[in-house]
Amino acid sequence: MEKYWRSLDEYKNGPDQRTEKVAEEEQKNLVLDLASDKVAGAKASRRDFLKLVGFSFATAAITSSCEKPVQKAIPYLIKPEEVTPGKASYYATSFFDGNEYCSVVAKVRDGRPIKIEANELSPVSGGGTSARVQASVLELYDQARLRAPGKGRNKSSWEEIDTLVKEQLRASSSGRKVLLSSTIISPTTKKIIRELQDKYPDLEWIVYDEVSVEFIRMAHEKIFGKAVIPGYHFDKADYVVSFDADFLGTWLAPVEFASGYAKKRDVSKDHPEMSKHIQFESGYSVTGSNADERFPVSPARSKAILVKLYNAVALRTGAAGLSGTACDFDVNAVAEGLLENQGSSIVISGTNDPDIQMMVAGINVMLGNYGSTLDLFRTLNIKQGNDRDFLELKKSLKEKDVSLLIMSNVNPVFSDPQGAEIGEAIGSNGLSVYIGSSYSETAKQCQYVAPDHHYLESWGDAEPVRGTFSLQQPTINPLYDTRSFQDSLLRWTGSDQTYYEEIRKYWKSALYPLSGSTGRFEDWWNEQLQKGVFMVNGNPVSYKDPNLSMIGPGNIPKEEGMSLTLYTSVGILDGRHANNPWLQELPDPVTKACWDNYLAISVADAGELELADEDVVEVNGLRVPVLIQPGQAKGTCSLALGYGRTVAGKVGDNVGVNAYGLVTAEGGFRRYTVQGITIGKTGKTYELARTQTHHSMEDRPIVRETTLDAYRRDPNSGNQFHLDAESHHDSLYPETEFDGYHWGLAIDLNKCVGCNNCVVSCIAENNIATVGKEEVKKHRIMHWLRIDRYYSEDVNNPKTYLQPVMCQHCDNAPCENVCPVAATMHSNEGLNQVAYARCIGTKYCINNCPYRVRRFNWFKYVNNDEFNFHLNEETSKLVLNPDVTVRSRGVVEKCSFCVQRIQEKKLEAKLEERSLEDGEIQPACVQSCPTGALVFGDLNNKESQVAELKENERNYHLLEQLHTLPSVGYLTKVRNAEGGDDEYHDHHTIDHS
Amino acid sequence: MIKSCQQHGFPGRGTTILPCIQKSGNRILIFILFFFFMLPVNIVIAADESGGDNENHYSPGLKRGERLFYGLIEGKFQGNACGDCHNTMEIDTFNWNPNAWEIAHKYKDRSVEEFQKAVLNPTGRTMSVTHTSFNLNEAEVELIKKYLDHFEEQGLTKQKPIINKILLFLLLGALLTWIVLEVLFLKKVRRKWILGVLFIGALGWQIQLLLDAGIALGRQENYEPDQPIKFSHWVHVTDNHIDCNYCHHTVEHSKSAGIPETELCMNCHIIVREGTYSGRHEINKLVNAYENGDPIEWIRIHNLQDHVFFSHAQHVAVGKIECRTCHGPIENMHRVKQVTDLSMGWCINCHRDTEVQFFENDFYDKYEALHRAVKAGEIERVTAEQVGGTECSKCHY
Repeated sequence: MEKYWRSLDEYKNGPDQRTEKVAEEEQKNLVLDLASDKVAGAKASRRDFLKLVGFSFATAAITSSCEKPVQKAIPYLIKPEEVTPGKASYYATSFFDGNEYCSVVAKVRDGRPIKIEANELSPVSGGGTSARVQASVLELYDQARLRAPGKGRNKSSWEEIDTLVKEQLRASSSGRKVLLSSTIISPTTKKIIRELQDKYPDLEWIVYDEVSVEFIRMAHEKIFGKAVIPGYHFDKADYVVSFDADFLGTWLAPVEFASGYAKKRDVSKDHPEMSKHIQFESGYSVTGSNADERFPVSPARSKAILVKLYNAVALRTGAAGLSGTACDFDVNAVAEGLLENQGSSIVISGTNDPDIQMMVAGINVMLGNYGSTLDLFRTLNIKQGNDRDFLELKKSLKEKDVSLLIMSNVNPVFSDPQGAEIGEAIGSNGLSVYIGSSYSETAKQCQYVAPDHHYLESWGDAEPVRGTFSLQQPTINPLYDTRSFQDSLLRWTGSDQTYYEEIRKYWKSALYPLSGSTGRFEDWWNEQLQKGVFMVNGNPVSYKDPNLSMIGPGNIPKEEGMSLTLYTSVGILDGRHANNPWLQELPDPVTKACWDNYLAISVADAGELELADEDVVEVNGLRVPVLIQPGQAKGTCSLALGYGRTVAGKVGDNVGVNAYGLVTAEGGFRRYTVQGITIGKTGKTYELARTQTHHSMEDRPIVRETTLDAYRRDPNSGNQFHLDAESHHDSLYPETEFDGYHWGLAIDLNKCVGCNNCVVSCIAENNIATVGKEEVKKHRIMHWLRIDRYYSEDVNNPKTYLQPVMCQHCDNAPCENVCPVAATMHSNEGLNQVAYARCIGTKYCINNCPYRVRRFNWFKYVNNDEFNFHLNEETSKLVLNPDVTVRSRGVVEKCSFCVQRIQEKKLEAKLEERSLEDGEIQPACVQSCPTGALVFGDLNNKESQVAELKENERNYHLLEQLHTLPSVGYLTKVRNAEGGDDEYHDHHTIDHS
Repeated sequence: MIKSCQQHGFPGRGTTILPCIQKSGNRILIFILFFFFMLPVNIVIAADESGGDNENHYSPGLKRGERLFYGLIEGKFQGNACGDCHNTMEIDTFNWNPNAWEIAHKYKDRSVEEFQKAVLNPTGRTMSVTHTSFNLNEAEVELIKKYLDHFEEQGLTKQKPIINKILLFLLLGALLTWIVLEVLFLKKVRRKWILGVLFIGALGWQIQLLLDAGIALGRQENYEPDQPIKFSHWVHVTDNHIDCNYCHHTVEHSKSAGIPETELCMNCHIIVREGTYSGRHEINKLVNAYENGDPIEWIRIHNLQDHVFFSHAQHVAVGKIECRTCHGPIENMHRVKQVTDLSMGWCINCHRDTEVQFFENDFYDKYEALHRAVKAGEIERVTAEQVGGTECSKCHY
């Protein structure tokens, strides 16, 4: 068994001192800041007590004789057919924000969308979503949304904008006329843009991505003759080698990739096989934490290793090698693994570098992966940005040669390294119109602002992967005076059609004939709307034979000084969702920090540079706090993009620093690794909010792991302690029997990739409050479901273990028997229930819970301007789930297994007079998990999936030696490695006394 | 306000009074107190007069209109006068006839001729019976309209607040204070036991008041407000035999029973334009609301707290509970009244006693132990409580 540690202090000083320090810190934080320090410090006298008593008596007397406010019940005038008050409707639609695609089902209650669920029918996103997709519903009600067409900040009208734009389009001026948009995957929108260009031939269309991956397309253009991003089938990959690609967290289509990846990590006794995952990376990504072997290497070394790997593969496959470079890394094992899995391996890189992407493609060609794990037929349509075109546009803007600039859903003023210059230049050119749903740095610089719908208000279609279509349908009437981008284009074309009509037309003429359907188009269309997705086989695409001759190692930088990797974080990604409080408060899966970006540096470098956590340093002119990250490659540091927005809204403004300025560009091609940076001390410190140390489980076998090798020999390996603990479960009391249902949850730690989707899904479902950075620092984060992270072994390259933890619903719950008012007790279905109205906030239960899953409402988070996020706004509160109580100050709350969903499904079954089926009830975390790591069900039903998993040899419970008898079970993590954990018992002897 | 004060020769408040206090003693103080006591009355009168002058309303014609309305002029009404049926004060009792303000509001912007027609030649069944005995000419009806136009601005006369529990509570408090003062300082009462009894009694009463008030906090048993339209369940259910489900059509599959959408009312009321008791006035409100696209703002009577989950489908469709079990004899109500206190104790009691459809509904097949117990004769029936119906998270989440 590995030795685990949770923070650097603990690693250096041992657990005891760390605990002391934390305890001391907590002591400091325990001073109530409910009132000012003066009041908190003052002693309450007997007189104050009497005053209070008198006051409360008088208040009670007065309130009781006052009349209650009159409440109104206002029915519909004409009830829409599909709306039943008090009952949710579900609509399949598509999420695409210009960056990430996901097919979703929107839950609409009484006319307002309140939750995003995964669309299980989608062949692309499977039954999963990402944290960003889950949080997108809140953005519908965002205060920062644009509400009406505007001229600068003043009101304008659609007529005014339409007239001006049409005038400019028609005018025969010398300047360029440009439509700058984010990647568009909607076939109908592409058609509309083409029609606009047909009408106005001098209109150029330029696609811009905030974070570019253009070299993947360019590499394929050089090798296969077509600039495409291939489809990646991780579900077919037995051997995965990733160079700096965070494909489970942020890279390209993480939901699809995680779903496929997890299919190859499903280990069972009958099927003891799994993929092998090798990760080379400089920073510590969530993907790296899942790797079987992770190598922290600098970007320069990474490239050298890739060259060596290329040559090793080329040597064995008979292809031409590249000029060798000196690299002491032994790639033979990796090359061997790849060669053994020819056609079922995959090599990827997340670095936007032409040589690297060419070599990666080359290796995949040599291994014969194209056609199996890499798909040139079902190619990805996302990330179509063109850096060269954008560079030309920048030049023209500086030369004041643009007479019309229409920008849709892009924010180059924020995300381009020369953003400020672009911003200034926009004003000195011709007419500029910004189309988007909320105000931004770029919108601020434009003359006119044309507000776009939120995706939940708009019609649309998408083709995220070639041949896979999906529909987007409105789930609510537009809240404000907005108009979809496409409708604006149609007005400018002079068409009298709406976007909706255009979509129908396109689907009728282009897709309906391919469906083979013989029925009426109307029926087919309704079916597609209901399912949300549609796949066609389509015609094969011809590529030229792969040409590897142009591949070269290029320039490999010397490893001098520090190198900086600019990455996108799981929550904030490229910054477009920065005003979303759910995402800002989402801790990074590995660093566990939220509400900021920071410079992650290695332990060794921190020692050499004499830096400590939270020291502020200056990196190429940018001031940023330091976070010492174990496993960060020596000589490298990482900084997240997307932070430091200045015109995002009240939540996202001035959170973190904008690192886009550090992006380098050669010939317009943006590179996200910077060599030879300087780190200067400033002597200042800046506090970071981290959720890392406040859920300590102190040196006990919490996460259990084994190796595939050991698992094959003994399915119990790594989990011997479970049997030991089970044998000690003796009690004086009779075992509780649950008649009817006994709910349980199984979490496969081998399938969970730690993507944070469940955390946000839980927030959305259960009305969980956002508390803000200051409160997070005081360990008062309210998340019911957290993902714990543990490190093991070597501080320079620790293994990382991620573990979702929510209320364990113990059948012998320590929290229940300490509640003085019986506000928390066990239900006859095995749920640990909390009656908020009964809770008086003694917090005994929190203190007695060994899992630290209970949360205390230190404040009233709703209607409180001190917590200026979303719960103090009338519109933002519309996102609340009406079936879940909004907790008030002074009560304890925690995971309820989504009891509202259990009750809902039970009622459905009762109405239909039938038993519940296995898998019918899905709590929010389970429903949208992209990897299927969580399984919920009835433990009483021996045939249910969860009951079977409970009998699995890998199943164990958290702190099971405490005899809490949790209803949540974890399945041991299995790493695809040699060796085993035979000496487990020597390391851990648990005292049962 | 200040202007009218000056007209009556009173000094402005801030300027002269305050120095007076500093100069002289008690007499001035008493004068000031007296002055403030009188002040509101003066202002009210002044305001009334000036208002009357400006708008030219308070004329003899208006006065006559008012007297006509109340039937104070001989020989005009053989039976009831206008004011006898159309109340001008807020009342607790249910009145089928529209109150004076409703009529005034309806005809405010309409012509005198229309009003005359409505009063003297009514087409509605009820009105044509009651209005036949009127001995009014057109000029008199015009005067009544004039009065009503004036009345419309004023609104219904509010009922004077009755002495309520606060006063009682405060009196008891005063009594207690006096007893304390008596015991400590005054010492006039010789028989101390009287004070003791009084003290305990008053304190006990106060506590009882507080407890009652505290328990009733947020509850509203017997709540029976006037609705914007006098919709009678009696007429619809008992007289016309309309099934509850026809209007409350979501009751069997949603948590909410559903207040019928206006469109649904119009299914019948597109034809039925005159009510048995209400005449045309109430149904006209419905029709107007529908035609103008205004939703009807009903007053909500049965209010559960936000932290309580209640589903009609569960109770009506699954539990086969009758509507009247909770809502009382609703079919005999002209105006809906809350008959139960909807307290948690009331819920729980029912859950303890009420049998579930244990053998009829296959959902309950899962409860094997209970089935065994029934078979073995250990229990006769299965109540909601036995399948977990009294647990917290069945209603609170």
